[in-house]
Amino acid sequence: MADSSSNSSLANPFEDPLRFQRRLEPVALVIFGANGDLTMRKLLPALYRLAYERRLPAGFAVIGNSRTPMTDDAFRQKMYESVKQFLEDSAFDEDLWMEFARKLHYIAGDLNDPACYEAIKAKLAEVDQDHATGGNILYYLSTQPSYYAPVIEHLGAAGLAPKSANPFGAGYRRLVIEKPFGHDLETARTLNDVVQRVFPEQDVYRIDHYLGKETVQNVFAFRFGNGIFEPLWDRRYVNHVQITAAESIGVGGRGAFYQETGALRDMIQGHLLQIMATVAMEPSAVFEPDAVRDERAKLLRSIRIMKDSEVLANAVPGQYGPARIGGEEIKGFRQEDKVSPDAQTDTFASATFFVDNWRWAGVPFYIRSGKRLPKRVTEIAIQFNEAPHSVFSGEPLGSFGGRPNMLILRIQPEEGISLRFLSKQPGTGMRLRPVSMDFNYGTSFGARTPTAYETLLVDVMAGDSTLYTRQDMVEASWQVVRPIMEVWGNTKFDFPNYEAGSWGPRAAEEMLGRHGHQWRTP
Amino acid sequence: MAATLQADKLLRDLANVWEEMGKQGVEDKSGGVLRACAMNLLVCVEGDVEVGETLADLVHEFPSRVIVLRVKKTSKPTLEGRAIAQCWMPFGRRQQICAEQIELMASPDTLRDTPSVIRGLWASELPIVMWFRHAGLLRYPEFATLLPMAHKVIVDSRDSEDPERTITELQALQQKGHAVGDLAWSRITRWRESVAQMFDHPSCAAKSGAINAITVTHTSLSTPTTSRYLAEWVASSLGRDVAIEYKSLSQPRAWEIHSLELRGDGFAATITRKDANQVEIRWDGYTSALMFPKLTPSTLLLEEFEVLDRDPIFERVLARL
Ligand SMILES: NC(=O)c1ccc[n+]([C@@H]2O[C@H](COP(=O)([O-])OP(=O)(O)OC[C@H]3O[C@@H](n4cnc5c(N)ncnc54)[C@H](OP(=O)(O)O)[C@@H]3O)[C@@H](O)[C@H]2O)c1
Repeated sequence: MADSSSNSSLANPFEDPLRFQRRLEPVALVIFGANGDLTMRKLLPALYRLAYERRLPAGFAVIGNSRTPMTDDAFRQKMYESVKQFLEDSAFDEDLWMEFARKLHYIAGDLNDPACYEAIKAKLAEVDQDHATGGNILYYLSTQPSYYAPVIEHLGAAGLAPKSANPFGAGYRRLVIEKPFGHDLETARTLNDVVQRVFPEQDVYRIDHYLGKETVQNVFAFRFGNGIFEPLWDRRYVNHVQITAAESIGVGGRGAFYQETGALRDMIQGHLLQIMATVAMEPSAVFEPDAVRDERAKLLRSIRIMKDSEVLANAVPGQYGPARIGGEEIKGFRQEDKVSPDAQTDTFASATFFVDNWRWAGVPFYIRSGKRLPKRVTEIAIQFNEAPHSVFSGEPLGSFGGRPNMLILRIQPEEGISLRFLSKQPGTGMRLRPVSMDFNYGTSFGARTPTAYETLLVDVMAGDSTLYTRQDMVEASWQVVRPIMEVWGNTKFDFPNYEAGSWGPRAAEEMLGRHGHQWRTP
Repeated sequence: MAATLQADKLLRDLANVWEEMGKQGVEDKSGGVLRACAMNLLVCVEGDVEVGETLADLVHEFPSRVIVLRVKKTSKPTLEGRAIAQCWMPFGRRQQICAEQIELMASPDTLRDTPSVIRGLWASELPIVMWFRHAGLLRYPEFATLLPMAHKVIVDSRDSEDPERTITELQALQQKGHAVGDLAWSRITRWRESVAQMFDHPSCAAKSGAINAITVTHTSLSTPTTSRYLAEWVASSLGRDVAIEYKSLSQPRAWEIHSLELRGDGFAATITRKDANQVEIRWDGYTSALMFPKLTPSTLLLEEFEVLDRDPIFERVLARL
């Protein structure tokens, strides 16, 4: 991958790329919303784990900001507790924590108050001295989305953004934005206008933590590192593609937030279209951030935009109703805390997309995502066509409808790849049976896989934006879902239409049925 | 009667082990076991030295077909073998993962019969790594026919009774075109990485041209290979002549290298052990601490497995020793 720190790496006579971790330049990380859920659950555990693996640069400091008054020590204590609680699949080392905690600082202040940015500036000068952060600054927006624009504008006004001279020398100033990038196409564009006034696009990193998952990255390796799959990767051999992101949990305490969002915005626009683009994009000439992102963006722009009259046949929403699962009474969405009893929110969304290009013309891509489905699973299934001529015509092929070959890229929880094909059943006579050839990530590579946030934080520190989304990609994915949002918004659905613990509404099955397909059961 | 052993018989035993475990999985509805293999690893040990714990850690991270060849002096010629499985239950999963292990025991007088057995035991299409737990075994001429099959040959010159001789042997193998590894080299990776990290800083990097002297202080009386690797690596990275000095603390500690000092006109940098898992880095009035994780034979070997191709930097330094 490209690495903007590589200039200094090349100059470093002691570099050993075979044995050393990817080298990162020193940096001060400013987290806005440091008292929030994302910081405590994901960011700090990821940073601690990077420290554990010695992947953080030697010159490193964190400056956390939110309103709650706290001393540095109180902030460290709070982070200590959350790192211990949320560290995934990893040991906690008290000595290491002591060393790591020295690098954590906190500034209380309101994001609407210009004095807050002056205090941050003074703290940046201090940590630059104490922790040798080399003048590099990374701003991480982990606040409510409504603060994104004001924070960016304040950073500009305070002379802390790249468009003013760096007060601490010749370092970079980069910005990480959490999703959602707008609530629709218009708000995404408005936010982008603000961003572009203050930060050049090359310094903006829009995070989509799905793209940071090891197995999504593996789609690249699988497609473009092997010679045998890519020739089959088109309309001649692929019958259709199914992308599923299912959660077994409901909305929990986030009912109020979720009521305004829904599965189409949260998951399909936010993540799954990017995954679809990764599966369907053309290979880029080189594996460099902009080359890869150009191809992904091109694919997103090739997705056919539905006409209003096509929406209801090609996009099915759902909302879960109450059910009894494993002896437990499960509430319906409308009975959840802080949810309106007549909410029209889609807790399930499914859609049929087509890609208008030579490779994929006519191949349906089915995408579905929902809450309170039978299990937590994310996977991409590629259904191949049947053999052009069946030699074994007398043989019943069961539920596979004569199309035995399917490739499944499992993203979570059991990451891996499976290929289903027919094999002769032992015994006399030519009886065929589908079998599965499995590659399981965990067994072939015993090493712990980094969490998406670990990967993405290292990438942004290295200046590698391959796994980050770009504004044109964000806009293209909003374009794709816009007609669906509009038609669904003007339609009163008879919700709830699926029971908690089932695979979604019947209409979603019928949507595939019209093409002669059916959803697979992951 | 002369002792005999056949690869086919051992492979049949191995197949039986899997079949039994498969049946058990059906009976207790546990879903059986997952057979995993990403590499062939031949481990050569002498006498009764235990490698079980190291191998359990290794296959967990790098599932392999492990062949342990134990060379043991016995009263009569011995050549025995058996097949077993090494299993573990990954966190949060329902199915056990198992890697296979074949154990061979030979006496010095039957050693010449083992290469022909081992040649039939490799899992095909997978890389072959040979770890000579006792570097002295490398000298047995019986291994000469096996060595060309290896993608990498690993020893530990630090544990060798005769480190000088082991280094010479490694150099000879390297000259013949073999990829070689020395755990004494992987032991100093964290030291080397700390030096590199220090010189990532622009103001430190600007002074690398000034370095003209290196001092490595170690805790043992004689100069260990690790110290020599470290000093020679610094010198060869700078690409010019610098004065190298070795000092002994003459105090046994839980670590071997105690400090590294780089000096030059208007420049001084040191990395010093504070305790078993921390070092302190100082340069130009700037101080920071870094964690050094505890090293075990398995962590060292895993690092070597990550670099299965030839390692030009190691080769460059090895050639200077
Ligand atoms: N949570 C997740 O797992 C997750 C996953 C994906 C994306 N995201 C995105 O990440 C962002 C952060 O999410 P979150 O769940 O961490 O939100 P959150 O829990 O609401 O945290 C935001 C924090 O910002 C601080 N804050 C609020 N108003 C402020 C103000 N005026 N000035 C200064 N600080 C203020 C608050 O702390 P004080 O009360 O101390 O000020 C609060 O703890 C959101 O954009 C979300 O969409 C979150």
